[in-house]
Parts: sequence; structure tokens; C-alpha cells
Amino acid sequence: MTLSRPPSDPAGPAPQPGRRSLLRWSAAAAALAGAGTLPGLSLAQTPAAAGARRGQVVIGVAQEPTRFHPLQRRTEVDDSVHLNIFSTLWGLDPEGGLTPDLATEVPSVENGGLSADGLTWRVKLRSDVLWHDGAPFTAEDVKFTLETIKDPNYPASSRHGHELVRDIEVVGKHEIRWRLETPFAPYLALLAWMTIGPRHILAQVTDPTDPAFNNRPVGTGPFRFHERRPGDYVALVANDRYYREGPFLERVIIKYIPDQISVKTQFITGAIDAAMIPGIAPDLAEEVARTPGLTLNRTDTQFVDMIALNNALPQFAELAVRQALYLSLDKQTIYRDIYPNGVRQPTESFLPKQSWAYKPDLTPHRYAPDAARALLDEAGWKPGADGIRQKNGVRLAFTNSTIAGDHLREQFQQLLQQDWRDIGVDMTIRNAPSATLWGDFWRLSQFQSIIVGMIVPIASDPSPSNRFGSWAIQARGGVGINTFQYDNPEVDRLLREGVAVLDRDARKQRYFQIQDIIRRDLPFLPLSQGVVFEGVKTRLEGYKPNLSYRVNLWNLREWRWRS
Amino acid sequence: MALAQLMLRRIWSRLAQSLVLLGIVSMVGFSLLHLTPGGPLSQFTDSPGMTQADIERIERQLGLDQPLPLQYLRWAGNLVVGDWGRSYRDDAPVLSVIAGRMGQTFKLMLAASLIAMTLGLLLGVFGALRQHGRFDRGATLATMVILSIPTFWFGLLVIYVFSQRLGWIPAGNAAPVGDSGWLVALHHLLGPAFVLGLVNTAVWSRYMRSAVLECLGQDYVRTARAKGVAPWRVVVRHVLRNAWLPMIALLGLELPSLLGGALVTETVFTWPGMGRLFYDSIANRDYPVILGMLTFSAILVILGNLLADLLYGLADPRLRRR
Repeated sequence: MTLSRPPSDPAGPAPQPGRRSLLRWSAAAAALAGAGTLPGLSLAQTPAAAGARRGQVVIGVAQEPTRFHPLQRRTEVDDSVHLNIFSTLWGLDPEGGLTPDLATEVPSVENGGLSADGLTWRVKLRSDVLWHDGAPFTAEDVKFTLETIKDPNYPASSRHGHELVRDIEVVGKHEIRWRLETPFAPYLALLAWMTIGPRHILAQVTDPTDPAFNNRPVGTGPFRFHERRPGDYVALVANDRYYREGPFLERVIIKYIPDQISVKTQFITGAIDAAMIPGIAPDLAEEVARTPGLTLNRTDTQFVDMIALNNALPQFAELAVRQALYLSLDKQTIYRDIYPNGVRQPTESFLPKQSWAYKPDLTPHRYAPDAARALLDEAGWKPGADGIRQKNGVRLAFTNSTIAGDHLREQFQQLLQQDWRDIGVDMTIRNAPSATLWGDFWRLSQFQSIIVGMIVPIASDPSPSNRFGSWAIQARGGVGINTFQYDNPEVDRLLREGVAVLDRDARKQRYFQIQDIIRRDLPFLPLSQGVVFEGVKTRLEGYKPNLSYRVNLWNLREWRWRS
Repeated sequence: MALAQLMLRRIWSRLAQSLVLLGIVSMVGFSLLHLTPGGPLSQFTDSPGMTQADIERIERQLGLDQPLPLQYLRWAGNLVVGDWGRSYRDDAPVLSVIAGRMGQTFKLMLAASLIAMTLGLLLGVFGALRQHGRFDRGATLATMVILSIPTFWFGLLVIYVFSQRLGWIPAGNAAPVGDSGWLVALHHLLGPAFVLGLVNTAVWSRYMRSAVLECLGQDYVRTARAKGVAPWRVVVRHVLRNAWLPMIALLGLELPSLLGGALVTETVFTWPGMGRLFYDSIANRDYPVILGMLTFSAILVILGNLLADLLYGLADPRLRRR
């Protein structure tokens, strides 16, 4: 089955040179063939659906979505499909608040959904939800999903938080209850990322890696999965029986365009209606912004760029060294010369500014190379014959890595090298492709220093337990991604308390303290919060950035063509 | 009969050699792939919520915790019985992943090859017949320029001029979603086929020119001319028939590229073919697909050479007598 082609922008002509020229071509071919109609040339546009639902949106993305199994979600681009064909118990709004989806209300102590100690959960579900194949959605589906993710033999991508769930019990057809082994405040936000799978289909599958469901997923979301053309696109069609408002589009095409220049050209020529994940390259943004009919959105991301230091190395063990490295970093020049147009927003925290736990008044960075030199002198790091400082036989020399071919970061590294050379520090550049960097090299702290863009919050929850807890150092056999090898008992205590209390203000207090300590200790050198340029046609409404999700395609049900 | 027997024997002997070659290629490919730093798990390592236990579990489930020789034997054993494995990215069988991309690549490469062969042969022959003439100098310069331009840049230039500025061709894609008409597909084919075709035209014309020049200096051509044979007949009957022989080898080499794809052009024109599949698979360290494509390419190279040998045998009577 193939799709007939509805208009991309039913409300008005979009700049589509391809189509204009096609008509000229077809006219020429028709004249040559002496025929009035040409087989296969089907430009007929289907009439808009009844009501407000009409049109098709083609969204260009730079990675290919390949996983459509609700319990085996992996890359961020997969989320663009998952969040629109499946549903969650509750979702996250752009302000980080929780809004009910499959649940009738978000459980809280006030509404009786949560016990005061945060251990007993009771969730009431909607009774008007149908799976895309017509089967009714019930509490059994939620139970099945939770139990499957918890199963150690199941290839779920993560069990974070779910491993604490005990005694799952279906109370009624549309009510479920469970218990947490220990209080875990982030679980509310984590559940906003847990897409529910259909028990009536998945329970019949004996081989969990069977690709059948992955290639024809059935959900309860606003769009139904239509088809995937590998290497090309994924097509979603409107779910007529969707239980909430929307969708207002007949079809959504998520189109894979690996090259950023091609994304820009296809956006300008009208071949795609939106450019997302990651959108338009910063150095191409101006051309897009000048093009009539297109809107370019400068959108913050959760990524915080930093220079991660391997704190277990003798070069970085001393606080004075880390402070000196930070003081001699000329951030202003970097943002002026390498990342102009506000592509990066300087930050001192590991949390995005939009997080409820972000501390805005952390000690600001200052560029003071003289102070850096004085600090190192005082700490006993004396310049050797080659001008590089050393202490107790340890040379202040290390490597710095980033993704090979990332030309902006590579330029940044060169400035960094000069800045640090000026204070007697020797930095050698050692770059590698992504697949090399983010394997054991990163995970098991085999790097010396590395420039990395990191997302610390999980869903909207700011808990950085798996980043800064001493139990999260994999190089020491821990569970987590504390690749800095940062070990501070005070931070450990605050991290434990932060997930054990439910009150947001109480949690915020702990996370403020952690940010202060981290800013003081500098296990990494904070650089900036990332920004992306995402483009949508001006006639297209509904685009809403939401930092609680990994992609801004979380609300396609609200997207519509302006009439 | 003797010829058929000779051919059959040659085919069998070549196939036997090819199997050994295939074994060596697969072993080298497998080792190199696993020696490359990084691995398929890197895509999960910085995913929020992933734990060390999760990573180890996935490693186990993918069979990556086994010793390398065991992994190879398992893979090769499955390959022999027709199981090429499943992609790590979407769990689809490798053969169906490859088959799904082959059609688009074949379409693109066939169009480009037809352009290249037609233009290349014409340029080569006419250039050689008027060696150092104005046409020959012009064609030589043009082919040198095209060969020197990076395909990536050439593709972008074509898109910028013919799509963005003039609006004559689409900016990429094999077809708009939902349109399956042949004319629409042809329209989308123009840009990438033109770019690839011109690059290959340069190659074909250089080979053809040399081959024709070589034949023009042969005694049999001089004899034909001395006999008073018409000039066009000398070219068609004596020069081209002999000049065609080296082209057969080139034709044999075309087979792998017909189905192997063109990474750069496919990327620039957002063409969902084999070249891009290979690139994406390497970027994601999708071992089963990379190995499948390496094996497939090796088979194509072997078949292409075999085909060229057979065609040589048919085209050149001297070989048949040996």
C-alpha cells in the first residue's frame, strides 16, 4: 500500500520549484509522447479531510528513526515517532509540569494517588482509549509494560527507576497500583517517558527481538504508523479514534536527510515543511531566516557543553589546577569568534536554565590568566625547562578529545591550547569519531579531558545522581555514568536526599547546594547551554519547544496548517 | 561444443578460486571491523538512564561478549546456511535491508552509467580520431576539470544552480512521498544521475581515447587504409572492434558499483541507496549490515571479473584458441 499524496501546505502555495519544474517537464514529455495524460504522473491532491484535519507535513531530520517498539526506545530521533504513536500515563509540558494523558490525573499526595512516604502509587486510567487496532486499552496494558521492562531478560533500553517497582496490582479495569521499594522522587517524571505497549499483541510474541512489531507498531497515540521506507522516511497517519484533541494533520512524514546542507536546501525549496533534529546548521541559519514563508526558531536545548576532566589523573587531582584551567579559559573570545549569533549561551551549571532546579546565581566565570598563574605557583607547579609546569614529577600535560570533524569544536580546541600554553599547561589534541569516543573511552574514563555536550536531567527531573554519585563511576565498577570519576561524600549525601524527598522545594534546596559545590570543585569546566535553529514554514502552527523531551516533535497532534 | 566446455571449465575454476577469496575477504573484513575502536554500544552509553548493567545486558544479547573467533565462526556458519544476521538498528534481516536499498541504487547507477558510457565513448572516439585537435583539447580539459572537482561540491553546485536558483530539478530525494509515477521518479533522477554520469564520463572517455589511439597505430589499420577502405568503415570495423576489448574490463568493474552505490552523491541528493546504507551502518557500527555489505560487494567484484573474463573470451577469438 502506498500513500496518495496530500498537499504539503493545503492553505496556500509554498515555494516548490521542484513541482513547478515538474509540470514543465511533464508538459514537454506529453508533447513528445503526443498523449494527454501520462501514466504514473499523479499530482492529484486528495481533498482535505472533513473538519479541521487536513494536509501533510514533511519533517526533515538528520538521523534515521529505526526503533518503533515502545519498550525498546533508543535514540532521540526514535522519540519523534514514539511520542506520536504511543501514549504515556502523563506527559510533560514545556514548563516542566505534568499533564495527564492515559491517566485521568497525575498521582499526588493530595489526590490520594501517592502515599505520604511516596512508596504506594495508585493510578486511575481513562476508559475511552482504544488501541490503533480497535482493542480497548486497560490497566492490564500498564501492568504488562511495567513487568516487561522490569524483566532482566527483556532487551529494554533502560530499567532506571523501574527496578524499584514491586507488587504491581490491577485494581479495576482502569485502575492500577504498585509499590516502590524505596522513595524515588524522579519516578514521576520518568514515567512521563514510559510509552505503554499493547499487552494483547506483545504478550503473544515469544521472541522479544521479533522485528514484526517494530515494523508495524500499534499504539494509542494521535497518529498511526503507516510505513517505513528504510533510509528514506517514516509515514504516520492520523488516528481517527484518538481520545484527546487533535490531530489536525492527515499525515506526518519524518524524512531522513543526513546532510545539513541538503536539509537547508530542501527547506528553502519547499521539499520539506520543517527542519528538526537538529535543524539548520548555525552557519546556514541566516540564509533560511531571509527566505520568505519560513520561520527560524532559535531554541534552547538541554545539552550543556563542558570540558570533562578525568579527576582520577594526577594532573587534575588538585583543585588549584582545575581552577587555574578555568580562569585561563577566554570564554568571551570563544563565544565571539567561534560561536557567534548566540549559538551558545554561557553557563556555570550542569542543568539547563529552564530546569526548576537551576541555580541562576552561581559564581560567574572570569578570565584571569595572571590569577591562574599565581594559583599554580602557589600550589607548587613550577615551569620546567620547556615552559610546562610540573610538580612531584607530574607534568601538567594532558590530551583533549572531541568528535573528529566537528570543525567548530576543533577551532575551540586550538584556542584552548593557546590559552593553556600561556600559563604553562601542555594540551595535546586527540580527536576521534563518535563511535570511538562514546564507547569504553568515555564510559570507562579512558580519556584525559574531553569536550562533551551532556544532558543531565532525565525527563524533566534534575537529579544528577548517575552523573556525580561516587557509586556511578564505571571505571571503578560502579553503575552510572560518572565518567569524571568525581567523588565527594557531601555531594553523595545530597544526591541521596534529593531523590528521597518528594517536596519540590526541599529537593531544590539540595540541588542548589550540589550546583554550588560542583561549581567550586570543577570536576568539569562548564561552557555553555546549547541552542539549535529549528525551522518550520510560517503557515504551520503548533511548533512548541519543550526541554522535557529530547525532541521538539513531542506534540505533533497540535500541529496544523493555518487556514 | 569445445568452446562451451572450455567456458564451463573456466567458470568452475574461477568460482572455486572465488570461494577461497571470499573466505579471506570476510575474515579480514570481520577482523578489521572489530579492531576499529568503538562499537555498536556507543549509541547507548550516554543515553540518560542507561546503566552499566543495561550496557552489559545488551552486549550479551547481541552476542558481543563472546570471543572474536567464536563470533566469526558463528557469523560465517550462519552465512553459509543463508542467515546473514539481523541489523542492530532495526532488527530487520540483513538481506532484506540490503535488498530494500538495491533498487534505488541500481536505478541511479544504471542511469549514470548509461550517460557515462554514451558520452564517454563518443568523446573518447572523436577525441582520438582528431588527436590534439580543438575538440580533443576541449574534451581533455573538460574531463580533467570534472575529474578534479570533488563530487560533493559538484553535487551541491548542481543543486544550488538547477534546484535552488532555477527550480528545474528537485533538491534531492528519489521521489516525493506518495508519488510513485515514473515521470516524477525520472525528474528526481536527473540531478544525481547527471552528476555521477559526468564524473564517470570523464573516466570512460579517457580510457576509450587511449584504446582508440592505440588501435589507430596498428598495422591492420594502416593496411585497411592502404587497401582503400572507406574511413568510417576503418573506424567501425577495425578500430572500434579492437578498442572495445579494454572497455570490457571496465564494464566488469562497473558491476559492483552498479549495486554498490555512490556514497557522496547519495548523501548530497538524499538518495536512499546502498552507499548511504553503508555509511550509516559504519557510523552506527551495525556489524551485521556492514559485514553483509562487504560480503555482497566481494561477491559482486568476483562476479564482475568473471563476467568480464567470459565476455573477453567471446569477444576475442585469440583467447578461445588458447
